[in-house]
Amino acid sequence: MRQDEDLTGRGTCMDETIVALSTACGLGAVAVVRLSGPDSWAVARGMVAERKKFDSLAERGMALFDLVNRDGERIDRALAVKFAGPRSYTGEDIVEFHCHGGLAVSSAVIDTARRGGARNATAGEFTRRAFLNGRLDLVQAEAVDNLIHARTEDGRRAALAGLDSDLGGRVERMRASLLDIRSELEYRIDFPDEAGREHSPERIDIFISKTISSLDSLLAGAERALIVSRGAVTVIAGAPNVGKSSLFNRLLDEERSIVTGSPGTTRDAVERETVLDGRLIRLVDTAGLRDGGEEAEKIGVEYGRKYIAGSDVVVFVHEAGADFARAEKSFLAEHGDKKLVRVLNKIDLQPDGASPPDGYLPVSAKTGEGLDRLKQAIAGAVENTGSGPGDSGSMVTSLRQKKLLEEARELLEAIETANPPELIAADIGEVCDRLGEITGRIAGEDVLDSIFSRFCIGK
Amino acid sequence: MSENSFDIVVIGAGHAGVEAARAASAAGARVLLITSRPDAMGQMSCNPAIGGVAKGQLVREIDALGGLMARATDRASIQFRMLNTSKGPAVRSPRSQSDRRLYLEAVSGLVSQLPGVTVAGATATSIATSGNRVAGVLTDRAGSFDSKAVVLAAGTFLNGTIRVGDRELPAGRAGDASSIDLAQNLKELGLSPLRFKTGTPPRIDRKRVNLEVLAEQPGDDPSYRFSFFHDCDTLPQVSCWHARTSPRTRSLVMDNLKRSSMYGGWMEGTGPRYCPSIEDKFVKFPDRDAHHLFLEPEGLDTDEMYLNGLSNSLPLEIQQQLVNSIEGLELAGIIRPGYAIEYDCYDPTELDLSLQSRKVAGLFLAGQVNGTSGYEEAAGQGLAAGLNAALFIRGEQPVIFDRAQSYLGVLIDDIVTCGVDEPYRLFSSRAEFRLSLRQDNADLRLSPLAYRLGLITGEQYESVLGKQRRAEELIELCRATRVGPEKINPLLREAGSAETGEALSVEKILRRPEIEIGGLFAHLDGEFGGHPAEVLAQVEMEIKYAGYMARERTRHEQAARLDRVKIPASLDYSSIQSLSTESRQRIAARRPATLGQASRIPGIRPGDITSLMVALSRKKSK
Repeated sequence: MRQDEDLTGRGTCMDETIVALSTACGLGAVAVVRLSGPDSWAVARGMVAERKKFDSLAERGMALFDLVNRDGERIDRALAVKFAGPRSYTGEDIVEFHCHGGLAVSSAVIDTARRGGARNATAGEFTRRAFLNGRLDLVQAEAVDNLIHARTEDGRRAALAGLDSDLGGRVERMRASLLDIRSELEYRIDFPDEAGREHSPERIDIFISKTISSLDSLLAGAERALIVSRGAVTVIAGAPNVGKSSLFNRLLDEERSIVTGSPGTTRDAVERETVLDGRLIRLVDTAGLRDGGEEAEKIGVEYGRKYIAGSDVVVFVHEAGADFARAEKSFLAEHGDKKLVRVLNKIDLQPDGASPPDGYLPVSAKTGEGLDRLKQAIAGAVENTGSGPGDSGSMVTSLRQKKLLEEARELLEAIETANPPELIAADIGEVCDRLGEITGRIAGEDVLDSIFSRFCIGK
Repeated sequence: MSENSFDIVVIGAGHAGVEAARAASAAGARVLLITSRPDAMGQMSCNPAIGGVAKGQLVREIDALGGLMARATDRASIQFRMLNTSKGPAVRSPRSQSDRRLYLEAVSGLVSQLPGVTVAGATATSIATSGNRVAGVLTDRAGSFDSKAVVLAAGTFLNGTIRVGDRELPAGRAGDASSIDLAQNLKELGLSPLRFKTGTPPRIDRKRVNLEVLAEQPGDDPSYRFSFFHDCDTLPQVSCWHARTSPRTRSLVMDNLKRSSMYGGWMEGTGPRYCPSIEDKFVKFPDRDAHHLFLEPEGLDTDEMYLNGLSNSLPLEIQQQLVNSIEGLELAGIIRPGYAIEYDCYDPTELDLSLQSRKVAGLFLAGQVNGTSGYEEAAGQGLAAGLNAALFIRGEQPVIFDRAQSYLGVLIDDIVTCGVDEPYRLFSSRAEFRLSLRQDNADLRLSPLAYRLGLITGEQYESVLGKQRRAEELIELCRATRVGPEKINPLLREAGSAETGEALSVEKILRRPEIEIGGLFAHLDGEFGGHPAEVLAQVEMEIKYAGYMARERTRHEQAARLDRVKIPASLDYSSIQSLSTESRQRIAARRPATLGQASRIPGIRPGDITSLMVALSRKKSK
């Protein structure tokens, strides 16, 4: 379940009880096997030797049990914990067995659970159930997902911070205060005889600027945080046949792109994830940047340009010995704002002693010379992307959240407080919709509820 | 056909019942209208006013659909006000103070002219069914009648109980008996009753009110007409007066709370939050030292005044002291005391969007029996129920009003989809497409439908098309006409708007926030002068607020996509296992007709809708 996938629970059948190993696969001191679903207690009960003891086990209490398989054979001696829905991680009844580590024990436990009526959980299914049962909001579900999928230490730290950060809570509070302003406007519209004087545009102005700065503080460092969690998009660009694909393969340490001698072989962009010097990188190989060429290749070039526009770092590759002044000038005219790492490839073909121009990293994709320095340079460029410092401190953990926050901000900026109140209310409603989307909840009767709790209605 | 056989029987001749009779009659049905008080059809049981924010828009919609309410209001209006004039066109709302007696006479007159409608003075005691279908209605003193459909519009009469202090009396309205047999029968038919309560304030004698010390609230433009199609003479106009509670009012209420029916523990029904009793106001808002009160005249030839804001169920002697604790009312006597009433209504989520019961085929419910409050809300539902009952007996598809097209659509969809947990009232904030649902364009929105169904005449429809053409031409004119600096700069200067060095289109000028359409068009005069306010409002919305209208249309298109996806009545929700048990139960209980309706059920999240969508497409591909 990556953040681009939906959390709606396609393929989730909530009537079934699921089981999975909840700790990392492999050797560890303890392995936790978790069961969730309507029959989880019953299935677990069938797995323990001491059934009466299991029945009397208090909710959230912990006790030792002998785990036995269907034939009554002892598998392990393990701690069991019962959770009752809805006060559990998934919102359903849950049992956790804390078994001894090692693959053999946990697979025997899972196998016994399956024979008892549970089925294997699909990837992310516990979290998905938690979301569907309203135990997690979308922001939290995304953070859990990021945590599970974190590939770098930074990523893990950021995801954990995301889970603790309460972005959902902050967005909800912001939405609640927008709702307050809106309900005041609605009160004046729906109860004109009681509300008396009109709303004050100045007060709304002040409120809007306050909300915009709260959004700004949420957005600050968001870009940087996203680079940490989803990887920095790093595009390898340059004229055809300068060896971009070879370099791409070298950086990934594998053969991915097709490498041939004829210019224009890579027609589409190819994207791979890798970790360079502790940084998560999404490396993109694009078609050569050149005008003309045949039709299919043109499409590839267009695609490449789009990738560059959306990238965090561009590795701009030239061929040693070639005249690249013109190519670089036109590239900079188009993408001058990008973080650039300039590379001079094919130095193996150069006579010894030819020194590269300033600001260029001499490498040879063929021999591997200069590759380590290039990896450091890319990691260094990633380090400096985004507006924030090294540790972003941002709560934003997905592109989806960032986009919605930005949309909310734009909508707020566009509000004309001299307009009649029903139009301002419509604007604020749009902002609330965006914020509500972040946490995955929809607005209901809340405007009226807010009116009735704040104002004495009824002439 | 025998004398005892009708197409449709309408039970109750209040605001819902008479509109049901009118719509059904216009759709060609033979209708029997049963009422225990044939002399009190269209009675205003609470305050003597029609309209208000959102309600005024609804009255205009009822008129655009050929209903009676706007015409009756015009004939009884003794004070007119347009509310929210300082705000935009979308929320401006007409409200009329109406002469109670004249209103009754107007309704009686209009009902007597309805072709194919017979009025019977009797109390319905039960609805006869055959299998799961309506077969007719039994009454206490007029015998029994056969019919294929019934519109139940019995208001607060079902198991109605009036309370004043610790006294209680079975009644449907002050002075009228309640319907106990019919309530029992409806329960047996499987309808799920809810118990609601509401209240009304004392009526006082104007002769001993010192109006000198109260703030006068005069009306405005008495030439306004609620009806798009009918005109009548303007009656003499009167004022309302504004008063406030005093510290003594407060202590009287707080000291006698235990003697109030509502707080003394005698009542259990749920009351409306938007229309709280004076007991509620002092208890729930202890920080407010005073509450607004309005004195509304009940008519031209009576001294009775409605004391709006002082609804209560305290014993009569306390009510008298309460009235006299208010400045200006120190000597005023009570003509009729305030009271609380508890009554049965039925869970509207058991209806479909045509207001037909899902339990009994051919039974339609409208008005307070559906847990709503307000004359206008009742009338709108009556119209929809009467119309759909007529379509039902002809075997035709019902008319489902769209939320984007009318407040009537918002009202029906709200109660059927979300249910009611207090007496439901319309507010403009309930309408998510509010900018399009205006009092000035109700005819433009609904007359094509009304004409197609035979609810308005061809001539009336032509007049609406004419209005639409005028608005469109004027919009075109704004785009085509350019005005030079020497002509427009003086106006811009005066409005505090930046002057121009070149000619500007009228459209561009109008888009400036500080420019107001009335002033601009008066300044330009010529082809721009002399248009009625209703036409100007169309131009203003389409040009000045074009961005907002575009956004609303986009939102509507998005919503309409969901509304177009029908959910088959046979869908087995238990088979959609990606829905949480809770969501599954919620949706299954409401049986939504479309995905859009499902998405509006409280507690349903976007994820549930995606799951439903996937399940439906899977079903289709099978």
